[in-house]
Amino acid sequence: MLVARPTLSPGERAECPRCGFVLSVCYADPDHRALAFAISALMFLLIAVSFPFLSISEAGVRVSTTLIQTVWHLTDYGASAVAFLIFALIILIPAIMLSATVLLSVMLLRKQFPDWMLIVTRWLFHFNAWAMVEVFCIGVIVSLVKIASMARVEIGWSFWAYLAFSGLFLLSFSSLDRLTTWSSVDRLRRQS
Amino acid sequence: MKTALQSGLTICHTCMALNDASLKTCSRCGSSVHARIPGSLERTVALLIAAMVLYIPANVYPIMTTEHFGSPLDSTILGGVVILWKMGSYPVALIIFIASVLVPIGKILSIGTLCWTVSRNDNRSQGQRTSLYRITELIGKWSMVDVFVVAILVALIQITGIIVIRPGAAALAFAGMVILTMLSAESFDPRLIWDPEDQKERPRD
Repeated sequence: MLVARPTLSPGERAECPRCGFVLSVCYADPDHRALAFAISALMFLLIAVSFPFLSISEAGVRVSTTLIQTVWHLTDYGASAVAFLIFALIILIPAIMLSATVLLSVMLLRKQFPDWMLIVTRWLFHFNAWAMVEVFCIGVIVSLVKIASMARVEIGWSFWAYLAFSGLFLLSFSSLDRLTTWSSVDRLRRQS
Repeated sequence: MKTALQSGLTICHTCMALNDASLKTCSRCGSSVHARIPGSLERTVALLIAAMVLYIPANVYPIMTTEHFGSPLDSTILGGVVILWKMGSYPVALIIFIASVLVPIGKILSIGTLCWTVSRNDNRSQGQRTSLYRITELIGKWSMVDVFVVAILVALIQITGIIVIRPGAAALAFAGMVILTMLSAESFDPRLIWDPEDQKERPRD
């Protein structure tokens, strides 16, 4: 169904009158917002992969694991496909999306239109369905409850960093409205 | 109400630009454009059947094996829920039950219903069916919770000689099933739900 696109002011959103789908959301200064959240999310992701994630102690033995080891351990048992899938869903795809957000918002703010801009913008929106950071957070909480019955669990630095990262990641991506972003990209393309 | 198709236009799925219906690629972002996803129903049904097939090993095989003092204990997805429930961790048991049992079955049923009603050119309750599609798309990723839990337990519970947890064959089958249902939902074109409506209206405009 065809609808005329209304001009939105910050805080407003446009919905399809027939099925209620949110067509566009307007934020004040979306490019700066997305850039700021993306850079801080990337920094927290860096912290999350470099420090111990969780550790347990039982019968005098202490086992500590990082985020990467969590994924890597699966390959020891021949579950490499699952390991790669998890790595992609919780670290790789979110990291690619955040880098794409940084590149895109910097170019939008500097009003430049490099050759790769269309590809980066296209992939950014395609990847969205495949980032599962918030699902992983719930998974961690469920695991904590399960482990608590077997051994004493200690929460590491990375755990908090990953929680912060997921919040910032969601904020960063939600700042980029598809319709607004593509209109801005298109404006730059016409100018160049 | 006039649709884009009736006006000789197609919308780009990637950037939402309107293009002339004769164009094969979007004039704004270069993605391929089409009035309706080509072979949408066939692709959705094929992926859905594949997901249903994988759902069997995902439930029959153990998702993880716990070795306590050398004696292995297999647990399936449903078995895990039962153990948690008996342990008294009701909220967690409920989360796993919803994420690994209700959501996948609900998704398969709802995509199945959508395909069936669309293939019959049903023109009733389009609004509800569209909401059903949006919900299916939204909850899709939440089924992965159990796979993540297995990964964390396997990495952490590694006290050789006392307790070790190994991943089971169901982990891959289940992860594959989640991915397939997500792809299936993605290839379904929700505009097909509204097509009978526009055919009905066409003589009037």
